[in-house]
Amino acid sequence: MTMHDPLADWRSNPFFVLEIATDATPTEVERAGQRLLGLLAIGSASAGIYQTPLGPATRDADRVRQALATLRDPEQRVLHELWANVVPADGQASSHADTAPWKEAEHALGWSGLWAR
Amino acid sequence: MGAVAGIIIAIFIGRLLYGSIKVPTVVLVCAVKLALLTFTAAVVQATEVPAAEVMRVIALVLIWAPTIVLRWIIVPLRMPRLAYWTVRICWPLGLVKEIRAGGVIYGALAIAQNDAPGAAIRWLEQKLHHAQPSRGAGVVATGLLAALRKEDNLARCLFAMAERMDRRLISPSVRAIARDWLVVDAARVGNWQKVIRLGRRGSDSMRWSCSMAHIGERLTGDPEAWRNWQLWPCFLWAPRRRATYPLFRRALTVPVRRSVLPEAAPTVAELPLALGHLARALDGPCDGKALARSIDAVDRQLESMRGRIEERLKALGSRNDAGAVLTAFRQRLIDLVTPLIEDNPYLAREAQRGSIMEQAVWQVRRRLFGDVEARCKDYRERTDERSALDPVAEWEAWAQLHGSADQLLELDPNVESALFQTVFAPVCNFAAFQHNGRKRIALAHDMFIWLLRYSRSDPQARQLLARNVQAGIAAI
Amino acid sequence: MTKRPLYVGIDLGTTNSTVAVFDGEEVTLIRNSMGGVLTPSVVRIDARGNVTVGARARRFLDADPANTRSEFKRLMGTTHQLEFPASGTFRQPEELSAEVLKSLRQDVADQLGIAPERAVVSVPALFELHQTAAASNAALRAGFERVELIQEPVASAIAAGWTQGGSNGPWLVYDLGGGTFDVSLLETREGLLRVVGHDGDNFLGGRDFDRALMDLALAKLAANGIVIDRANPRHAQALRQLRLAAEEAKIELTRAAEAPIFIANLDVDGQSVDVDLIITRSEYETAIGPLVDRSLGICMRLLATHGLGEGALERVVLVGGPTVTPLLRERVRAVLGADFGEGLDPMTLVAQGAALFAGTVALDGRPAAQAPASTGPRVWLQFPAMTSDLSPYVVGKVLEQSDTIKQIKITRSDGEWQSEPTPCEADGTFTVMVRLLPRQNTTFEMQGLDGSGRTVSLQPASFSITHGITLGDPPLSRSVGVALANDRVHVYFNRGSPLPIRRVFVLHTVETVHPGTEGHVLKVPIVQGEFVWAHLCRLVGTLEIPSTELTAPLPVGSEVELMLELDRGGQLRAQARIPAIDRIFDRVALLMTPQISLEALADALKKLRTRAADLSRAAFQDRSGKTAARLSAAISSLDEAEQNIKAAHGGDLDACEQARRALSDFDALLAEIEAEQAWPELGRKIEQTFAMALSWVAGYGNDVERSALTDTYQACKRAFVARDADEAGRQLAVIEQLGLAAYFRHPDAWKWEFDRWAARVGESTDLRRATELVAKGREAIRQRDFATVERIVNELWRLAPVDHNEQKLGHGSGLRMR
Repeated sequence: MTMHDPLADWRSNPFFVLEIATDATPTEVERAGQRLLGLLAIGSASAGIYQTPLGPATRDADRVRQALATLRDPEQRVLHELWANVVPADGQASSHADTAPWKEAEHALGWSGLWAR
Repeated sequence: MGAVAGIIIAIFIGRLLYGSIKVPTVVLVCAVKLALLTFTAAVVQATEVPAAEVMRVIALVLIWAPTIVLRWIIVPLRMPRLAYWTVRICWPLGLVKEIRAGGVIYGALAIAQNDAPGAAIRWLEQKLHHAQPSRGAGVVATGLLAALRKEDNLARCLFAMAERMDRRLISPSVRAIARDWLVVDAARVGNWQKVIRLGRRGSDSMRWSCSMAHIGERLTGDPEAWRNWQLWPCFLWAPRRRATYPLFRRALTVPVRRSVLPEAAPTVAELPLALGHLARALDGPCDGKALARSIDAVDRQLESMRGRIEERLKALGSRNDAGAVLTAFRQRLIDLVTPLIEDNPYLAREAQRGSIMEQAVWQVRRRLFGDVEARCKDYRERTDERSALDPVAEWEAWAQLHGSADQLLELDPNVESALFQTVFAPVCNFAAFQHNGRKRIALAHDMFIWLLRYSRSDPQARQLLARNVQAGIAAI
Repeated sequence: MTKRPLYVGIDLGTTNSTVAVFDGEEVTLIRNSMGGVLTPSVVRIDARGNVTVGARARRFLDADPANTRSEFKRLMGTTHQLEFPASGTFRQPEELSAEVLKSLRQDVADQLGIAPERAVVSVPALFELHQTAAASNAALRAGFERVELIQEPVASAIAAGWTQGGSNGPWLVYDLGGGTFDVSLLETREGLLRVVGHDGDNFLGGRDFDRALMDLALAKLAANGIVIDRANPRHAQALRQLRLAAEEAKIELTRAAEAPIFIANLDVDGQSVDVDLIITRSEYETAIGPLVDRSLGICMRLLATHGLGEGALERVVLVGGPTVTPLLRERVRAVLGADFGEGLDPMTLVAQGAALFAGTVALDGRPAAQAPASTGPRVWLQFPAMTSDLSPYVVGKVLEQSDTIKQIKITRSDGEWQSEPTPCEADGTFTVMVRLLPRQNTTFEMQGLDGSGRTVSLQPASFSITHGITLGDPPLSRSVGVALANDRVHVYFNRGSPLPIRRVFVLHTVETVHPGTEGHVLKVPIVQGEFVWAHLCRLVGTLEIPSTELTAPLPVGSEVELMLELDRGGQLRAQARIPAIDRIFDRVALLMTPQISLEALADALKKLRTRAADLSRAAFQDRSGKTAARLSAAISSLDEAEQNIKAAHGGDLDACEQARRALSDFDALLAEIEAEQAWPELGRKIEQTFAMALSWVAGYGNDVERSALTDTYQACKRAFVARDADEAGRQLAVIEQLGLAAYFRHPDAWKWEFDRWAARVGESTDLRRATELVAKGREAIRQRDFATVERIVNELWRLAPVDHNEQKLGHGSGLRMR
């Protein structure tokens, strides 16, 4: 519903990035981060994408390091625990299906080259 | 027929030589086309070429309706240079006053299907630069080139400006291109309110956007929406039926509601559920009311989390209380919502605003005003220095200021007076400089008309602007 | 030793420097050619151009002070050129530091047979970007191929954490060196060492203790009729000798109740005098008491920032030579209420920690060619060189014959543990969790298994991991951002952000830049500091986009994608991409601190005193006692700055920097107070303007205007309550306009305006033209031709002067936010 993705920032929640539970111990947090940094360094294809309750997202070494740093700070960690504990709402109501975006619009009209991806 | 053509040509030559006979350009072009057609027919007949009838038809189409050839043959063949030169040679009547810019428009449409090669874009940019665009076709051409370069925001501003331009400056067919782009732009992200608003402004020449508006009304459950038996003829009358059919089918399945069903507020007992509803409101197609409700639900749940937050902080070894965490949470909420409102300012007007939404709106407003003020400052400086950019850059700059100002007004109509006071002097003076100093009549005229529209709070300024608008009309 | 890794750490101190190495198991201090572990940071260049470093050079501090330099670390990153008249050369502080580092590198080579190519060098936590850049450059000049920087308190913390074992809770590193004071609050939790916060003072150190002792000695000498003046360049030699003697007395006073200062034949104003003084410990402690209190004030400030009160600390680690002072130890223990870490050598802790840090980042100093060779398909391994986790992951990718190697098996060298055969993914990657031995270096052997379970040798065949501490990324000590044209700072990295860090923001230009205009540059100033106002922050670098590189005008509002990146040591990289012209610019002119002239400092001091006096007066009139108290408490810093400026006249470069810093801080305080005072002023202006507008609109406005005035006033009040100055200003402009519109409907309004501007004709930018207009205006009034009067007034307005000061304040920035 917008030109930019409103949930992109939410998907970068450190718990999502590191793929750990919100009650992970500090050791588990560091271990997860260290493992991901290693996988990203060697160019593992699967390490660059992760799943969240709000859809998939991509990560790189910088993002993993930021996630680790964020979770080391107690206030930041508690803040992100709140955001990470999200229960996705039930499947879209029928009215939302009606007003869903018309994703094929630009292709259908032959103008797909006129918008940034 | 030859005699008629001969007389018309004589008038044309007389005008050129003596300049005292005022004949509209369109009439002159028609006269030339008629003469060409006559000449071609005569040549074909005289030379007894096989399939002479076919050749006469081709000549007829190329001379009188080249846009048919452009739209159905040349553009689908993706040949931008051929499209450009066809326009230049065949002079479609809708583009008579800006033939080069018109050539660029069709050249751009020819490469709009996929990511366009850089060389083709640069070639078209060069042609537009030589064209020194001065009217609506130039603006639309600039917009299409911006869109090809993936500068969506700039393209949006230019098309929005072209779509509302004075009819004296832009032909209906060119305006339709701008509107169609805006309709597609809104439909692809599910902004059906905008599709409806655009389509309702349409006329007969904009059948597709009108059709899309009715489809949008049906999809959103508008009480004024047409029933199926009304939608069908509207759809069949509009162009691009094959492309629009899947959407049309979707609309047909939506029942017509004669009253607005109030969306039930989500009853959420816990923060995680409230966050889930918020995520859905942010991500899916939504309206301002649903967004505001979901934000308020999250905000309400926050205070109940205070005790739990303090327990967690203690467990993690922090000595601070929950206040900082709650403040940071609310700030993140504001930051989450702000870009959404910036892209869709009308959301702010629909919503019953709580404090979070209010702060997000305030943030957007501050940014937009900052943008407007910076651009006005640039106009002031360039007026003092008597410095102007090339026409393309000037239209882009004006479109962006125009765009920010329109976004502000959409966000909060009450800022009209403050906005007018901010922009009036610098824009009016700059427009006068463009009109008098650089003879960019159309640009100045567009600026004066826009200012006049929002000058209700300042009668003196209104008078001045009305005079300038009249001067512009006389000069166009 | 050649088979074990060589992790090198260097403490580049103000007074002394040290180098240590860590081989994965233990830390060793390297001795210099004189047999000591401490190398004085002193450089001498003789007449033949020979460079001497360390104790040998230090001997000449007294005998040949002109050609012997010490304590240049505090001047790193400045453009000061230090003269060596014997050789006729000049050197920057960075070059002198490079000589010290070269000497230390040679010491390693002499002791271990390897000249290290990579090392970790320590810098104070509060070093600014240009200072850390100078430190890096010095190391590269010294022959290191690659260097990482580490903040000194972090290094101390690593060394202390390594030694003290696994206790949890907050602790403090109190690092008082020769020239700088750093205090860091750390936390250890499950082996993870985290730096919670920093504070400090770049101009507080052992040198100030020496100066306090010197002042004591000078006072005693003055009482005896021998006057030695710091501000007098002719007394510089005498002061130097006195300082050396004072240093020795200071060391003596740590063990004895009194210490003599004896200098024979001291040359004072051409006379030879004998100095024979006794300084008691209590006199010395009285003199340094305020300095110790100042350091403790900074500690308490740090603790308060992080919600810690007295007694909350687990322990305090003391670092730096001056911390052996008995008074200091007493006061620290009393105020902070925690025990000291035992078994830690305050003089060498930083170097040890730097070497350990080199181990955690696997920065092996050995030349690459010396890496041991092995056979078999190559595997790319990623694992932590040091970690507190007993079960870390080892991640790898088989680079060769990846279709043959199906599984990986890892065995601990003691044979007590072995992993299950772990299958490789389709792309050859694998992840294995290993088990370490506690508090030691553990070696593992790695083998591949083919499809039929046969063992395949791999390259490398083994690797090792040290169980110790996990270090959180070091935090940035000061916020870094970009100055905008409206003198605000757009913060990129907040103070405390972990390093390395990288951010990209889209900014917009504020003016049109025309191509090819010589000298016209789009500036992107990068600043460091916590102030909201850019001109108060330190300008650390400018990315410049010269207009000569543009091929078309860059209109106002053009996007600039600006990327800033800081590496772990605080080295800055910047890059600007302008999509409109599809060009990238990355030449950042990193600033040395410009050498500010003493006259400019004195001038700034005078202006600040005037501003402070005006603000005090205004505070008094407004009965704002709090503001007045704040100002009067801060005035003493201006007096101190004045003293430092005087000392700088005598050649004390350090005093010059201190004065500059003090004036900058005072300027910030005044700006803050001015901003606070401006707010009630704005409130008064809103009420006055509304009252004026209301009176005119009531008499000469229409209904629409009356309604608009009420609405606008409400909006203005709302903005004022929300403290949004910009919005309040806008609404105020509307109120003014409504009032003016009604005002000008009065039949005599234009005449009044004309009279007002005619009285100010002297201020016009074109006096001749203005005078002509005034004459025409008077004629028009006589003839009651008010249309002409209106035209003339409009022209007079255009001749009024304009103010252009705002953009200058933002370091000339050409950017704004959207």
